[in-house]
Amino acid sequence: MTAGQENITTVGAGSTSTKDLTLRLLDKLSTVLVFILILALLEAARPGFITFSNVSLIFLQATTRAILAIGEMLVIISGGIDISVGTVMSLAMVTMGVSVIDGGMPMELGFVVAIGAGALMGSANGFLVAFARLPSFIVTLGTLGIAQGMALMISNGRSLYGFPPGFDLIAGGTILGIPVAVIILAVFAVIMLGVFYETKVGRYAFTMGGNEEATRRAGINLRAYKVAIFAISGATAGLASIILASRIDSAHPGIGFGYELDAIAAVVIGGGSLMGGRGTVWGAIIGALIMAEIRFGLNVLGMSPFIQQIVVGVILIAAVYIDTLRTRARIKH
Amino acid sequence: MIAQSDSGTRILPIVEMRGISKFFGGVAALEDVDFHVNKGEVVALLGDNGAGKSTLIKILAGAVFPSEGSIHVDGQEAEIGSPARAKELGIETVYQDLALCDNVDVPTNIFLGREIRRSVVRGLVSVFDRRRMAEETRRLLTDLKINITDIHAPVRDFSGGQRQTIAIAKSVYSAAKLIIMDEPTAALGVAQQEQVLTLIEGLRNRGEAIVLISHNMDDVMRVADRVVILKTGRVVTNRPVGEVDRDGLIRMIISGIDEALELTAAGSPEART
Repeated sequence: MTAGQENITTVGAGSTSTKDLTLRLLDKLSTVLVFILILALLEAARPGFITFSNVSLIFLQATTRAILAIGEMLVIISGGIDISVGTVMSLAMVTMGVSVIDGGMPMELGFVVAIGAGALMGSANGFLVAFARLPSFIVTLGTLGIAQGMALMISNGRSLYGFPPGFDLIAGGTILGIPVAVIILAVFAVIMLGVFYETKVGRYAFTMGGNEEATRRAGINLRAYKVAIFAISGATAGLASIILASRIDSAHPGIGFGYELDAIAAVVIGGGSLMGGRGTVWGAIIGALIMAEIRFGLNVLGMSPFIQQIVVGVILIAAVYIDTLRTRARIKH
Repeated sequence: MIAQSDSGTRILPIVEMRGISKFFGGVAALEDVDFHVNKGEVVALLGDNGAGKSTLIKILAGAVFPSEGSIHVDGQEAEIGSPARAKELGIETVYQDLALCDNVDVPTNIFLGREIRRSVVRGLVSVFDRRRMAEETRRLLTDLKINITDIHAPVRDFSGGQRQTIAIAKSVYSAAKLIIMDEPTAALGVAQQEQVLTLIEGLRNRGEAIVLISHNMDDVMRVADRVVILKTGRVVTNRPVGEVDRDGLIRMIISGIDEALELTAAGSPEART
């Protein structure tokens, strides 16, 4: 070992010292701090804002977005993007609504239908990305429209009411004081932690996001994993549709459109990189919490829904800009 | 062609290509090329741009299929129809930039596509055996005298030289019979080139067979046992490094004429093919 080698090691990997660890910890906690900061700002603007019921409402409203964002996170880690999750959620919701309300299907089967419809649309995305080799942005832009149209066709453009009694308890009920929807999110997050870190789908999502060619050259069948990744994202939208439908105790064909913005923003705020290769389950959840918090706060401040759309768009662009700055800093390093 | 060792005994080459030609349309990228690599031998493959080096290497790596000729691996005729088949046959290629995933750690890269798993919860759940993959990675790096302590740092945190040694270690771990290195020291600093060259020497001493493509004649003179020079798809020369010098190599690459043949009337008979 020469002195030169020693030196290189110290400069390279050796620098993961305490300073680096502190930075990493700060990086991890920064989103939590942002969440608390926004909460404090809202409290300052509307004294008495921070109440248990307000905060738990934020958490409840975040669940749909958090579930969507976790699926979106997996796609974005792999270097792709899925902008169809919102309307796929609508499609899954009305498919479940028509099956249960019009078709008299048992509610439990309706859940399977919702998740299955989402998974099917997701698989279609995956097949087009993997086999037709189209950019995922374009494919999912197309399926965004297709899912929206299908949702309107299946429901004839109407809202569906009349889910069996008790369905609303998924979003409205509590177990030991914790909203059922939050428990579902927690269980789903644990399952997805397993998918991210203990399955080949998750592992190769990270490696293909880092270097797709290297992953292919390692002899890995990328196509199969791409289909799986998009199928999971679609199934996730199906799961999210169940919770959203329960919250409004009905199904609407137009409700999901726009959720893709929140999901993607949540991913980026939560530390996911649109360049691929980086992101966590926890980041998707905290990112969704921040998005829900901002929307809720704007409501409380009396801002119109129109302005909310603008704010969400601005946040998305700002978050991506910050991410590119972070990536550039990393490359320089 | 069977190589003659110093003592005159016949050694079977690990990989041997016979009469390889490759035509792209009407253009011959390779014409009747013989090429072989023995165990524990570093063969430098040289030539100017467009000489046919890449095509020859791509044929070995399964990315290009030859128009004519045959390939023998361990004496058995083999068809290398795909990169996956090349890997099965034990031919690993270390590409300049395409080898590693920067965002994940060293074991994840080394074990990419061949992860070790273990069962937990009485065999109901299967998870990655991170500890074993880390142990194997450390053992591999120690064996190859690669000095990397923090194997769990993302690969992007390492220097270019370290990354190149990791990429080479990855191909060694797959028990490759033949490792092809495409410009392994290009774009590296001097100290980092040294790391890579030391590793190549270590690999040769372990008995690995290596094909080295390089534009750096000092590297070639230092680590190669034999040089093969191509020009416009044909073999110009094929001889031990001891029979040539640095300037002679450059002249042969440019002129396409085997100089050493004229200089040494008693040159090795091998050089004539």
